[in-house]
Amino acid sequence: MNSARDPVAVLLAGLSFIILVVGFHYSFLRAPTEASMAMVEPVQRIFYLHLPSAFVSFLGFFTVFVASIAYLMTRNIRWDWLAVSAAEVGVVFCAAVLITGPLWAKPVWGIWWTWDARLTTTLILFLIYLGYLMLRVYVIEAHRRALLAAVVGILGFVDVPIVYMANRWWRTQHPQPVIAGGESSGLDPRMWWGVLGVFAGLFLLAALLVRQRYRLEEMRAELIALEREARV
Amino acid sequence: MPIGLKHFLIAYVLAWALFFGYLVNLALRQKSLADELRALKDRLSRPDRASGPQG
Amino acid sequence: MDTLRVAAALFRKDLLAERRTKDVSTSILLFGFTVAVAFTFAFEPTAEEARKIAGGLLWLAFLFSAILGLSRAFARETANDCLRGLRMAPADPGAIYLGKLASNVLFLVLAEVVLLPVFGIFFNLSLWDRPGWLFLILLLGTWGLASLGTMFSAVSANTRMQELMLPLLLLPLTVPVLIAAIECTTILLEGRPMTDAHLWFRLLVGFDIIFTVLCWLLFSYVVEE
Repeated sequence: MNSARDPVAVLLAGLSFIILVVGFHYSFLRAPTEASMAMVEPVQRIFYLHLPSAFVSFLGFFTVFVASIAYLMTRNIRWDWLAVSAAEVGVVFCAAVLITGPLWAKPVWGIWWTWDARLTTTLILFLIYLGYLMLRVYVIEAHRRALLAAVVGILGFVDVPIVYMANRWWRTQHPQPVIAGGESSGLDPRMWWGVLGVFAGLFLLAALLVRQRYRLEEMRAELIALEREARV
Repeated sequence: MPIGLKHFLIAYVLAWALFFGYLVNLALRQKSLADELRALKDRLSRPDRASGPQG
Repeated sequence: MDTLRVAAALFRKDLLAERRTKDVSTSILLFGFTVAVAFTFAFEPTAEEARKIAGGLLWLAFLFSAILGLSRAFARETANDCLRGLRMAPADPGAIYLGKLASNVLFLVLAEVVLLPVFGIFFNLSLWDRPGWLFLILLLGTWGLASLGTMFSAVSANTRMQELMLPLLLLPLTVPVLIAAIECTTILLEGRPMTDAHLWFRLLVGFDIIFTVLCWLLFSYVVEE
């Protein structure tokens, strides 16, 4: 990456690093160790990476949704570039959520997985956007790819709250082992600072990643245009 | 006695490996595209030699 | 309304084509039957267990058969470039979607109705206590699957790997329909009052309406030139 010639990227990287250091400092050293089941040292600190990653991932998918609508309305291919960038970054962070979750759950609750609403929805979300990315691989022409992906991007996101509700209702009928205090448990306010700090840092990191991925699409388009010119 | 120290370390290592792995992956892809672009631009700017109806 | 008239015409066309060739129905039926047999090897439930898991098995079989049927149904359009012909006709593309959706639902539900007794025999289920409710569940669930399925079969027809893309896209997104349909069916088979399932019915109806409208609106983007 030509970071030397890209001040915004350097700025994002630097800010992200600093804020992450602060956020994790707060998460590890200031945030309280509670007596509740979930908060066992040091495993509970996974939570400060797990939850912010989930927020970032969700924001990424929301960006795909907005960019998809924008593409359909304006037909400007740059919206599609933003959509695929946000989708990839969203999937990366979603994978982090799915990895850190079970690693937290196993030592604390003794099980790797449970079909509670949030975990299941995260898994489905991961599969939906993985499908979105795979679809793009198999469509050659840029504008058709953008069109089809936009449609899937919109349908996928609309489905997410429905998936969540379905899982929530299912869980009331089929009680599952409770993880992380159930859906409605709140967080100790002192823990919020750690979560927010890490979230801010991860958000900036994600912005950097989206930006670089977007640049990749720009370069690819430039290459195609040049190749076309070379053939003329 | 730290509970789940192993899990804690693995979780953080894996997650950060994922983020940085993706960053590196992007950098590599960018580099290869940049190289292709430069090569193509060089070829185009040079006076046309092997002209004709080929790619 | 123009749209409905076009949709009805397309629906009729699909019925006629199907009556002649029967490839959609036969593939769904054969596949569904095979899946049912495979399940009997996988599970040997007692009568009590059978009632608990039959709902899930039934809808899994319907889902797999639906995927097969949906791609066959759309293959009919892409063969001989029928789709281009449809596009060039001054018809609202949404009408194409609605017509296709209606015929897909019909074929799928018909196949499911035939498959039900097969399951009933293999797993010793009493299916016909409340046939009205059973049919309603079939209809709502299949409508949900077909609403996204019709859309995604059109989407995947545009890709190099259509047999892969349709299930890959359809499965995660139809999870709510599957959960709801399985829950309703299980409640029905266990002899519980159908009021227990009222939340699930609401979910089914909501899902069906939301995604039918959305796909109807978005379909033009998928078939445009």
